[in-house]
Amino acid sequence: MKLNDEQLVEQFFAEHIVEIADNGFTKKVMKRLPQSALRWNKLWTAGCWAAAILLFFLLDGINSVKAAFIHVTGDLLGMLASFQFDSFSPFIIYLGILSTTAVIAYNVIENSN
Amino acid sequence: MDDISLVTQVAVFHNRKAFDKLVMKYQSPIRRFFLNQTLGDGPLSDDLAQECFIKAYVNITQFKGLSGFSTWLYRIAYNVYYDHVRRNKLTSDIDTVEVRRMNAGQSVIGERIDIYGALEILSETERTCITLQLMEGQPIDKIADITHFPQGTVKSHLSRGKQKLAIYLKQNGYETK
Repeated sequence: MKLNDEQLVEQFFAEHIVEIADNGFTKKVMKRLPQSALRWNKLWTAGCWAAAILLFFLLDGINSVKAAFIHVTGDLLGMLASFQFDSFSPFIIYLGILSTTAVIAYNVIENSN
Repeated sequence: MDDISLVTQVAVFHNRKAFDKLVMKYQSPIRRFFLNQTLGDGPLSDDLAQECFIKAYVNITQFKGLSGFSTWLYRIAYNVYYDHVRRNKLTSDIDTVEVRRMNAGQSVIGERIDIYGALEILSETERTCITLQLMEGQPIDKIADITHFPQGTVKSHLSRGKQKLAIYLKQNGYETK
């Protein structure tokens, strides 16, 4: 089938499209990028950290964290103390161990892949 | 990660790794664009392409997301190329083009003499429109966006360019496959 002129031109260009290998081009570009934005970014980050630390001490953050830790620990210990292992059947315990093992194995396999 | 996510990372967090991914993704089409405009001058194309990406990085916050990132990048590439032409006061007379072709021939990547011989017969604007459409796959509305030409003008350049190329290809014995 004879192609019309437009198809002829399109075919010619389609044959000449090439992908150009990087060959270090990206690295050269990254080296030439201006650093000023990075400096401002670091200054801004440092400023935010300084403000956060200052506010933490000004607003008595240490005692707040201490109180939160005591509450969480207390709740956890209370929950463990209220646990009655003899109310579970061996089947339920076995199912729990099997499910936990399956989830761990799945995550290990996924991470190794 | 898609382009918008990467651009946001660069614009808001100055994440250089995100920009690295963008450069790796677009280095081939942008360098190819410059190779076609410069008729195969490899070193010049790479210099212009580097300039294009640096300009994109510096002005990344100006990308509004109204067009795709690739369209915005091609627009920068187009402006970089024509700034280079104006700076060097390159004319389209035959002698100048012939000298460029002779110099370019030394650094052609692979066997691309044919394509640049064909592109040489076109005017600068015809070459830009033709390569954007036929090599970079850009539709007419995107080409108009990139070049700031009206769509009608883009269509005229494409039509004229294809007519010239068809005659050239037939004269040089290019057969259909």
